[in-house]
Amino acid sequence: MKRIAYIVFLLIAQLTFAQVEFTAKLSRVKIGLNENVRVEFSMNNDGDNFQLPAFENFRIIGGPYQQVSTSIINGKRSYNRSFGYNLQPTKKGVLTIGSASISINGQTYKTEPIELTVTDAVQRPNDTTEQLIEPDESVHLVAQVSNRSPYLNEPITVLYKLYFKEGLGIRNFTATDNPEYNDFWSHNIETKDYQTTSENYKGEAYSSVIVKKVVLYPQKSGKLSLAPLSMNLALEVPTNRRDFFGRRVYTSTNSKVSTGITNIDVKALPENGKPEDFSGAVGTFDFKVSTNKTAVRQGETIEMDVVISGKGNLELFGLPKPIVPSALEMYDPIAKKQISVSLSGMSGSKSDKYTIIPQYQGKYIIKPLSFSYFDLDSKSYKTINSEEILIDMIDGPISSGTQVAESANHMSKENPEAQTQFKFIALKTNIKPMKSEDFLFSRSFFVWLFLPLLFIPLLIIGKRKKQQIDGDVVGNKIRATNRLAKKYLAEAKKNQKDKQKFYEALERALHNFLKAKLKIETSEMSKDIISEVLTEKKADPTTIKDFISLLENAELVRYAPSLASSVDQDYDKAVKTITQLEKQIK
Amino acid sequence: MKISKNIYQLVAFLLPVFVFGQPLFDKANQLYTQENYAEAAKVYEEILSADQHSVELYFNLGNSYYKLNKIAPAIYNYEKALLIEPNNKDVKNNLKFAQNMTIDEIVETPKVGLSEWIQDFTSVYHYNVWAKIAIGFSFLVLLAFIGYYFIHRITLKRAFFGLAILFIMGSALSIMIAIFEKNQNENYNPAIVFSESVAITGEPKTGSKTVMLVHEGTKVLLIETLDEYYKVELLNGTEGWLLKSSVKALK
Repeated sequence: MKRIAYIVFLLIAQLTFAQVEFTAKLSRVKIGLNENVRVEFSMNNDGDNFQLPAFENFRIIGGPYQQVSTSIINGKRSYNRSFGYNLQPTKKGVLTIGSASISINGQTYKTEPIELTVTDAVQRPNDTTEQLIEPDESVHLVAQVSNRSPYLNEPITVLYKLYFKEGLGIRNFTATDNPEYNDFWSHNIETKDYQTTSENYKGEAYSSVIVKKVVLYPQKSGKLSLAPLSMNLALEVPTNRRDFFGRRVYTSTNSKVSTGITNIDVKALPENGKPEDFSGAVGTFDFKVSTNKTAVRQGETIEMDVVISGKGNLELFGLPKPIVPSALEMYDPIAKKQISVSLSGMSGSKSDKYTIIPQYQGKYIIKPLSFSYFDLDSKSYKTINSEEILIDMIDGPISSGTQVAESANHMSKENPEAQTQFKFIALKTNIKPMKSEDFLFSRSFFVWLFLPLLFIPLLIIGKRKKQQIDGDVVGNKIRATNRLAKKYLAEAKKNQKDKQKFYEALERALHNFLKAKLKIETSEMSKDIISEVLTEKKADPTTIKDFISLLENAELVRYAPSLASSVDQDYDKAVKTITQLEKQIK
Repeated sequence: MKISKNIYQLVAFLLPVFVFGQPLFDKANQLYTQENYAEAAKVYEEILSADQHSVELYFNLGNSYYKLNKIAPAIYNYEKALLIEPNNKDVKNNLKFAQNMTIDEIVETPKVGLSEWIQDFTSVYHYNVWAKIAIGFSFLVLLAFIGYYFIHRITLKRAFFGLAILFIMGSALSIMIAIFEKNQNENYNPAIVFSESVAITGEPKTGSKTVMLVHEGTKVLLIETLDEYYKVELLNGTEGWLLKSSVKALK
């Protein structure tokens, strides 16, 4: 008996040990239509050929989730394997989940069918703990813009504030979507210390924390929009449960918040009164141009600083460039910036340092530089002009090329200075009226030009006439001797009234004629000699006779004045004879 | 007769000048010596406003403006002086000092070629001088003609004839050069930029593209005029238009 009992015990033990369990379990037996249920098929021994039930009226929304666990406790090995499925009912009512089957050690096992009651869709899902605060409604991300209608280049600040209900804990936040500020110059101000303050938001008490600070300078006028900032929040939501010690239990959830698009209307700067040199500076500035010295010697350099300091969009405009005479050699500037950005915008200074080397002796003017900006306080343009800078190079070469410069250095030792100085005024002058008429093509020009040329035809005409006269030989000679005879007889003719005097003059005239023509002296004049000489000279004998008779007549009248003779006749005869003699005498 | 009449006219012209211009010139020089440059310039200008001038007057006025750091008027007056006497060394020297103060450095492009060589030659004398040279040749023609006409030796006669022809050609050439020079002179219309800076544009209208920016004191040559614009050429050959009001013509 005792032995039988022992065997029975052993058998039972064996049975219980070797018993294969294959069960189906539902997480809940009553669910709403809109809820899920998890069904789990588990076995304590490994098997093959697992077959699912049909799952009519259900939809598998998850699974299979397989789980295998083996444990050995006190030498006793236990094994568990399960298949889990999340199911969603497709209709209401009492639904049955059919049996699943598996073969273990050659034997097929089946699960019991399970019933499930599906009710109407429930309002609240199957939360076991009720959250006291709905996270989506109690957390807000807001972009707070300091000025929604700024001027172009007027700084605005955007504060991204997270509002959350008291009691809600924020474990962590990460920006998922960081806006790119197109059309803006932006500067992110790092916030390291997040401080929570109490604030009213939409009439309710909230805690707020600034998560991001941005300074923006609009670069375009018109309607601009800021892209939204989106954040993922890890929240600690208080529940209505209390833990063992009576403290409230928090659950963690994730929430997504976004600011939405923020519109900004950027005003353009007024065109009215915009200075020509305006380069886009907006703010309040001071402008200075200075040099470290104004008088230099050869080889020395000058440093010139162009500085703009103040508040405004310092990063966003260039410094005005100085214009210097070409004879000043100016090198590219060294730029320096000291700009800090705070919530109120940029402030500080920027400067260009130029190095200038004058080339030649003389004075150089650096024209005043002007810098214009738009003053936000007075909403008007302002221009600052720097002072004119006069640079004097005391010594050094003068310009006009290198040759002169070099010769001044090397060659002219005797007086190098004299060549290279600015010359003093002239003390003497000859001031003339401005309007001096052109000599070219003036009347006197033509007169002087043609005067000598006019002489030429005159000369030609004169000579022609002379030649004509020369050409008529007989006539010319007659005219010439006639003239001669008349000259000789001029006195005689004058005294034609007085017979006595007439013949005296006639005789003298005839003697003079002979004297001039035949070179016979008066003392030698006798009729014989005269006729001899005349014959010698090949005069015509009749003419000689006439001549002699004239002389005789003159003598006769002298000694016998009463003798009748014709004065007129003798005069004509004398003229004729002298003319003929003139012709005949060679 | 005519000459003496001219002399009378000249004397009549000069008389008031000596009475009026010279004392003012001396007074201005004194002011300049006392470093009262502004007043000196004013007095020099007074002489100019009476339509009287001289190289030295322009030179001194330019010096006054240079001392007053007025670039454009200084250069303007030096250039004025050089128009009368192109090779005055003092004026050229001080002009360089004034040009140092200008902002632009416009390098004159050297002109080469036969036409330039001819121009260099013809511009040796003013066209009035060329006119006088033509008259000189005209008298030489007369002398050569007399030689030709009255000398009977055949070789000499030929030589004189040749000379006469040569002198006629010389006279004609001189007149031609004078006309050419006068033309050149009339086409040479320099001006000085008085505006602090002015844009030389491609077209004579506002908003036209800027070819180059020139500054006070730069010399430009005027070519044409249209409305309120001058077409100008810079010494480096750049051409364009600028506003009439920005420059002051030297002639």
